[in-house]
Order: sequence, then C-alpha cells, then structure tokens
Amino acid sequence: MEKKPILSVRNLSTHFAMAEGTVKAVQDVSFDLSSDDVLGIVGETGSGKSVCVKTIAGLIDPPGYIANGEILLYTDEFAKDGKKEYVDLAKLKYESFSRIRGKHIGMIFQDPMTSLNPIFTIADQMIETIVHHEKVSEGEARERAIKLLEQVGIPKPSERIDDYPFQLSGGQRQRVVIAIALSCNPEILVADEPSTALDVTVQAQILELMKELQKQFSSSTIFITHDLAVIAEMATKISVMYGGYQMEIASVDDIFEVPMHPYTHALLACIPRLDIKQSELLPIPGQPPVMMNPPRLCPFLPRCTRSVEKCQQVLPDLEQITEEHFVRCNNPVPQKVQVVKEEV
Amino acid sequence: MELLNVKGLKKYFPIKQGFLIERVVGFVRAVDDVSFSVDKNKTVGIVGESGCGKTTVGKVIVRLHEPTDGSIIIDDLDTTFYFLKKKHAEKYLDDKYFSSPAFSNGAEGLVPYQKRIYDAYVKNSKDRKKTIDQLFHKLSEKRKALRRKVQIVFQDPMSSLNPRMTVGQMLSEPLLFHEIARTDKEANSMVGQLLEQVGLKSHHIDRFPHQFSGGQRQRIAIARAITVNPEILVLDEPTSALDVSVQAQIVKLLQLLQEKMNAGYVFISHNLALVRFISQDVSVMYLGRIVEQGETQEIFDNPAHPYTKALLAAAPVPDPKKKRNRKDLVGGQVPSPINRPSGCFFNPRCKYRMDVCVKEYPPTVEIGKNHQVACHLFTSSHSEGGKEK
Repeated sequence: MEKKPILSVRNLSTHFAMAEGTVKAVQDVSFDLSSDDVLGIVGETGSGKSVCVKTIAGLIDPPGYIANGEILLYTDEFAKDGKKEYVDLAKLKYESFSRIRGKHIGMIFQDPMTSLNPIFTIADQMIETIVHHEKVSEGEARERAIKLLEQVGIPKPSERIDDYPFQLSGGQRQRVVIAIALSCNPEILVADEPSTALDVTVQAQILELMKELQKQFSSSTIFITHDLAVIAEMATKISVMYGGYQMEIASVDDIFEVPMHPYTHALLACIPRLDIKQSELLPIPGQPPVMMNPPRLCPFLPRCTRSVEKCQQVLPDLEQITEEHFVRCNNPVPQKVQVVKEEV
Repeated sequence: MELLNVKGLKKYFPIKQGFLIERVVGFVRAVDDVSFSVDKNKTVGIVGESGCGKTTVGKVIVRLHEPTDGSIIIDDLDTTFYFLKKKHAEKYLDDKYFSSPAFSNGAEGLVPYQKRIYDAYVKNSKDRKKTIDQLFHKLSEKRKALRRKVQIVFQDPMSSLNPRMTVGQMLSEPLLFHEIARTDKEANSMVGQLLEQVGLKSHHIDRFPHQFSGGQRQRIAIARAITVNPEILVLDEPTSALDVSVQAQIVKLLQLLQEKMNAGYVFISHNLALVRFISQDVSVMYLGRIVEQGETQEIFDNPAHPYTKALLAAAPVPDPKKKRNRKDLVGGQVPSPINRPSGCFFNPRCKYRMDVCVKEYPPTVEIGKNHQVACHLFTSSHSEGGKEK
C-alpha cells in the first residue's frame, strides 16, 4: 500500500491586500510531506518561504489571506469515530486552529529571544503548552517539561526550568524553543531558520540536536533556510522558492548534483564554498523581484540568462521530470552542465 | 608593500558601577594583544564568532574607538596618538595625575596609552602647555590625512547611511571636505563617476537610501568609502545582511575595486567560506586574541588550533555527500570576555586540554612558513603530549 502523506499542500496562494495593491507572497505552492520526510524550503529574502509555513501553521493575520488552495492534514483531531481523515486547514476557523497548532504542528522560529516571552519562566511557558493540549495536571506537565529539557541537552533541567529566558544563552534558548515545539509530540515540526541567529559552533550543536530528535520523535519536518549549506545537511527533499513560486522540487542529491532550473544553478554557483578552492563566484545579475502586483510570468525572468521567447508570454507550469524532480521552467538546464567552477 | 601594521593592539572597555561616584569594577577585554599586517593589494580576513572582538579591531583601525595599548602603523607612520582628546591631554600637565587614584584604578580605561603619550611628549618638555598646544595643532592636520587613507564599510547599509541625505549629498561631503573637488559642480560629476564605478547609475544621485534595495545600498556605502581613494579599506561583514545572490555581486565589486585602487583590505566576517574565497591571509580570533594566523590556503587545508578545527568542522558545506567531521566539533559556548578562563581561553571547550592549558596562556609559535598558532600542543616542551582524551 502506498504511504499516505501526513500533510498535503495543494496550490496554496497567500496574498496580502495593501493600499498600494496586492502582494502575492506565495503563489501556487504544492507539496506532500510523508512521515520521516525533512522538506527543506530554500529561498532568498522575500521568496515567500516564511509566509508559506506561517500559512500552514495558521499564523497569517489580515491583511494577509489565503487566496487559493488546500492544506490537507491527516489527523484524527476532529473525527467523531476516532478515524484519521484529511482536514483542510485553509478552511479551519481560528478557534479550531488552536487545537492543531502546538499539538499537531510544532513551530521553531528564527530568533529565540523574541519567540519566548521574557516575563514568564521557562516552566510557565512549557507547562502552558502541555496543559492546553493534553489532559494532564500541572505537576505532571512539569515533570514532562523537565524530561524534555533533558532531551534537548539543557544541563540540570530541574533547576534551569525556573529560569527566565534572559538567563539562558542564545543556544540554550533555542533548545528551549525546540523543547516547547516538541512538547506535545507533533506529527509535523516547522523550523523557520532555527539556526540563523546563532554562531557557527552553536549552530552545529543545534543542527545535530535536531537530527537526533527527528529520529527520536519521528515527526516530519519542514525546514526553512536561506543557507544552502545547512539545507544540504538537514533535508531529504528540497523546494527552491523564488518570488513566491516554487521553482524546483527534488531530492537533496538531485538539487545539488543535477539542478535543472537556471535559478538553482545560479544560486549554487554564487555561494562561496568552504570545502573547495573556487576560481570565482558567479553573481546573479540584477535585483530580487518586487512582490507588489507582479506580472504572471516567471519571477526570475529579468535575471535569467537562459530565457527564451516563450518566457515573455506564459508562466511555465511545475513540470515533472522524474518521479521526484519537478521544475518550473521553459528552458531548463540540461543535466550535464557543471555547477561549480573549481580551481585546478 | 606593507600598508598597515597593527602591533600588540589592545582595547579594553571599562565597566563602571555606581551612581554619582562611578567606579571601574572591571574591563571587557574586547581586543587583547592582536598583531597583523596588511600589504598593498592584499586582503586579510579576520574570522571568529560573535563577541570575539573582530569588529572592535576594525573600529580601532579606523579610530572609531581609541586603542588601550599597542600601535597602529599606517604607511610607516605611527598613528596611535592621532586621535588623542585635548581634555585628556591637559590632565598630563600635572605630574600628580599619574599618581592619583583615578589614574591607578584605571578610571579612564586608557592607562598604558596615556602613560606613553606622557612619556613621549610631555614629561621632558619645559613649557608643557605649549608642547600640548603644538602637538594638537599638528594632530588635526594628521588626522585629516589619516582619514583619507583608511575607510570602513559597515555591515548594515540601512543603518550606516543617513536616511535624510541623498546619495549626492552623502558622497560629495567627503569630496569637498578633503578638497578633492573644489566646487559643488565638480563634486557632482565625480559622484556620478563613483556611482558608475560601483555599478549604479549616475541619475541615482538625487535619490534617498530607502529608494534602493539592500544590495544597492551596500554599493552606496562602498562608494562613500572609496570617495577619498583610501589605501586601506576595513570591511566589517559587508555582505552578511545581503542575500547570497547579491553577496556574490558585492564580493566581485570589491575585488574589481581592489585591482583598481591597489588598496589593502581588512575583511571581517564570521563566514568562513567567504573569507576563504576573498582573502590571502587569515587571522582566527577567539575572545579578543588571535589563536591562529597564516596564509588562507594553509589555514584551511592544515588547521592547527583546536578552535580553528572546530570552526571548520561546524560550518556546513553545500554538498549532501560530505558529512561533517564530528570528531572536531566542540560543545559549550564562548565564555564572557569579562571573566575569561584561566590559561588558554579555549581550554573549557577543548578536547586536547592538558594541565598546562589551565595554567598559562600559550605563546604564539611558528609552525610553518607564515603560519602561527597559539596553542600548547605546539610549544616545544609539550609537543609530545596532546593525545586526545
């Protein structure tokens, strides 16, 4: 029997109605997330990667709205007979969403100082989440919180739990945020640039921790980052976003070895590498796109070196190349072109 | 040719406590005994994690901070005292100042520095007031000349550009001040050329910073730094606020400009891959000190210091086939620069820790051609030890 995806996003579009016009932040995004998958969403500033997952977690407030699409979560939360079914989160009311968020979808944000409340202790914030979603007493919740803190590698958790966020270091705060996200054993973990605000040695610790917990809790993860190096390490599947659209979706090996979209290609050629000596970086000319009332064309068109006449007329569809490889391009790069120039 | 030589540079920030009567209770030793040199047409990379003092080094070189000790030699001129404040210098008229409690408890946070000025200029002169006046007259000229030699580009172009000034105003100000351009008209045409040089259009001259994208703003900041044709350019994380596609553009621009101006770059960054790409020499800093220093190729291929190894192992590589070298990863985090560990600052996190590491800070030793490291593993008496524990 084929494995059913836990989360299936279909043609999702999120727009923001502004006085000057509509900002089309996310356009026509589709993906499936099965258990044990780590989907990496990679893109530059303004590519819509954060808005995309915020929509999935129900965190889009007016003037933002879901213009189109479905977010299907396979869950038994609302079933009367206890059977799992697909629930469309896009149509869910705000009050019902709080039964999903935190319990079925856990979130980790970029900056741990702003995602923790500075005037409550770690214990308050962890117990609140657990008690809200599960029928346990505060004492039991506290026990569980201490155990969770131990799992995320906080030394002396029974003492540290009564600390305030400012008493912890940046890396420890992010560990606490991860513990809160995992506290109700969610099926889906959404991590929005979890390591960006951290130093590189601490980042390595957090990434190692997340990989370990991923195995332990077996939740599927959506991992957002702008850093291709981080995504190469974490993800099993990668979606490259640009200007609100998914440009290419493929397994992690395909993205790095046989990228087909000109943007993915250009992106890989312009990052400095630690592991090899490069002769030059190849910058992508031009500026990132403006998201206000964009034309219905490929957003990468003004910066693309492989554009053809067809690009001026229609927006290409997300086409399937192989079983797992999708590309949105009229003139994709043939698979044999070398990506990085290495100095001999 | 050596453009910049930094020797034994120190910068301590005093921590003051108390209301009305302030006392110095300690120091943040942001930079502690840093030495390096920059040659013409060469780039020196300074890498380290946040709090290691790399930005402070850059700021001291351009004199946004006064050094506590050490010397900064630019073009064979010792520029260390150029930015001395007159109100400070006037205190030296009185010998008693140097025996006062305010001085001995380091209230100014500048003890060795002040003492050196006193010894060099004031101590033996007959008319001290006149000496100091003369000194300051000379210094103001020298300061102006120095500003033409050293410039800086900051990390975040949104906060380093004045939002109320147009690009034209910002760029013509240094031109007029340094009398590179004599009239506004002349300045304007030079600003146009500068903008073209950094990849913008000359009609951008009347725009405000908010009308540009992040990458374009950084180009303006670079244009402002090169208006005076500096010999040394300090680049303090110039691309870390930018997207990777734009980062590559800026890096390419900086390389082009270096060829044109023959300037020496001090490239400060936490991004190891970028430093590897852009610089010929690298200094790795940890808690205010340089732990390893040498040619880029050598440092990245044969890192010697356990901290350098840890940094390299921690940095992810954009290749799913390459797994990180877990053996060299370290736990814990950077200690506070106020209460530094005894001995080698890295010892609480180091896997190769020996008894001597807790007792004394390791001396810097040469372990190869142009490759220095400060680690007890490489000092002669302990080179036998260092087995992994």
